[in-house]
Amino acid sequence: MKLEINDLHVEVEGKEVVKGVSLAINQGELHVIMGPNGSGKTTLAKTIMGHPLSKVTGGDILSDGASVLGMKANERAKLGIFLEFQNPVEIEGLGLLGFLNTARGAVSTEKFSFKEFMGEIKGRASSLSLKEEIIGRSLNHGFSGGEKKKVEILQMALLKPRMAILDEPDSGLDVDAVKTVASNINDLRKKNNMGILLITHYSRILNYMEPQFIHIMKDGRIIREGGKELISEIEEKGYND
Amino acid sequence: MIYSDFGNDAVKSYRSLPYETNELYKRYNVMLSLPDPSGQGDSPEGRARILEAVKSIEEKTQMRFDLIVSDNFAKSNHRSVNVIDREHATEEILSGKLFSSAESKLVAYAHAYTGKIIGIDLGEREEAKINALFINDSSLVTQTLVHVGEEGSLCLSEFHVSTSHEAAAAVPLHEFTLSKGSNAEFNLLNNANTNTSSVVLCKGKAFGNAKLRANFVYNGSAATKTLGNFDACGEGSSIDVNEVVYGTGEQKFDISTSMFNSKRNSSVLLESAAVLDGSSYCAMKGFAKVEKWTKGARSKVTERGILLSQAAHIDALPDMSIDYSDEVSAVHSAATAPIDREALFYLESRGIAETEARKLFVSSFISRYLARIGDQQMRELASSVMLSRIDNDFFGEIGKFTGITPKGIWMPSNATE
Repeated sequence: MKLEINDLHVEVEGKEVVKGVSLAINQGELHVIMGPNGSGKTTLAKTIMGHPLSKVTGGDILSDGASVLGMKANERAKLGIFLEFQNPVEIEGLGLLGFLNTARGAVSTEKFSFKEFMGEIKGRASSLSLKEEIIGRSLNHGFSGGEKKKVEILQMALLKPRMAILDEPDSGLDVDAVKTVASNINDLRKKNNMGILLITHYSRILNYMEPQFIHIMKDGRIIREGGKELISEIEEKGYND
Repeated sequence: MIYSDFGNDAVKSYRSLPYETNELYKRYNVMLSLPDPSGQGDSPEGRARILEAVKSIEEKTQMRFDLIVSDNFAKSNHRSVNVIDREHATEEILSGKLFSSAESKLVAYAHAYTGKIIGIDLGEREEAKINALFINDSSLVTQTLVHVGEEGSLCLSEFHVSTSHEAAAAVPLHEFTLSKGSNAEFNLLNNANTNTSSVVLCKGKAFGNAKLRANFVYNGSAATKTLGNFDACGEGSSIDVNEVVYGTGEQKFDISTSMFNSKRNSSVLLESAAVLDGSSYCAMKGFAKVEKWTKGARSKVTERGILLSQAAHIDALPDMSIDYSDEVSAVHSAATAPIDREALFYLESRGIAETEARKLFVSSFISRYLARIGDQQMRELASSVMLSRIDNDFFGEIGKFTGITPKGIWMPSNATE
């Protein structure tokens, strides 16, 4: 799968937030977008997934050469696009296990037994250092910040996307949790040959990953692009220089 | 209405108790006209038809009912249940009533037209689980008088249905008296057809350290009007009332429940939830009063609503009167909103189509409340009925049994208390 973003302009509630962003991500590649607060990173992520409040006013988003702009979020998910939310919503009463089962059935026609499915969940939960009992709880309800982030990765593992947009998977995590999350992302990327667009403020998580492309986003635009060397430069000088 | 009007109404309201007759509540009121009951009579043919219907309902719900009540016919094999014709009720039974006709015209109606009085009496340390089926095909006015002896334990689960599509009215009145240290769970699921009206009257008193939990699920009927009155009148007693409403089309609900902390260290909790579609309407009128000299009392009223359409309307009126402040906790809140757009987007981003996502969201909201039904059979039945209803919104009819599969279809939520 190849995801292309061509000169994308996005408005949210009448205000232009993304002002001409272009990116191309091939399956298996790891791209990172870094930038200060309010630079439009999350809006870009949500627009790729098809958020109804993100109004595309110019440009295009292509999956393997075909525009996805007319597609709803669930249709984009079926194409293999996954969004890891910066702030996952809590839905009390919606059991996590039932939700995972429903979501898996929605994006995949692959046949699997309940035993296999549970085995997969338990295996990945263990790898993410999540307590097994979490699968009996309501979706994100009462979860700690770390648990929410890890459950997002658990969902990614089960839905097996081809292209993942990870919106700050490291925010609110302690050092050990960052390492755990990074290691699981690396594992899934390798296993599923998944393309990744990772959004972050900080370089912390990148210490455990091997990104090939770094994009610096500010005020709705990509202002710089380069390789891993850009990370240390940002660490040193910040986004203002 | 402007705020100052509302304020004036509220002040007048407090001065014009009894509560349900006050000005504020009259403004948010679902009017009902109840017919003179004309039951079908206890004929052999009528009885055979009802028993046949019961058999079918038992098969579909996978429940066995210990008590069957239908129009002028009532039957029970349970040792703790005593069915009495109203004219044979003794003074002792009638004098023990908690509800007074003077309290409300609806109570007066129930007292005037009751066909059967159902007595449930549990002795000291006695335990019982009773499943009841109420069939409302023409006119069903009943009084269920429950007494649980000291340290006794009762679970009473009632399924209210109709087996025909005739217009009908049901006025089930319940009274619970819980002696010291006893506990009771009362579950009422109304799934009668939309040509019916339901008036649910319920009064409960919990004496020292007794615990009463009541769960009301209002799904069927064109108009539902309730009057609840629960008094934690013993030291350390607790009463939890949980009300769930699902309305579509032009269904109307007027849910009025009053809770009282009358003794020290007593606890009352009233949680009401409504999901409305079409042009349905619900008034949630939850009231809690913390009486004087009730140190350590805890009181909470919450009302939550989800509106699925622009024409649906909820009036949430949580209210409290706190007459004592020494170590008393009193909280009330209300929130009504359309389905959270971000939550829908989250579900859709996982491949779930919008229609399914909306259903998931609504069923999740409702299951939070249904999870509080302790009786597993009733919880599964209620969940199944509601889930079927949520699906049927798009292609079905209220009060039908199609699609109800009580075992194992419901993803239990985080079923904590």
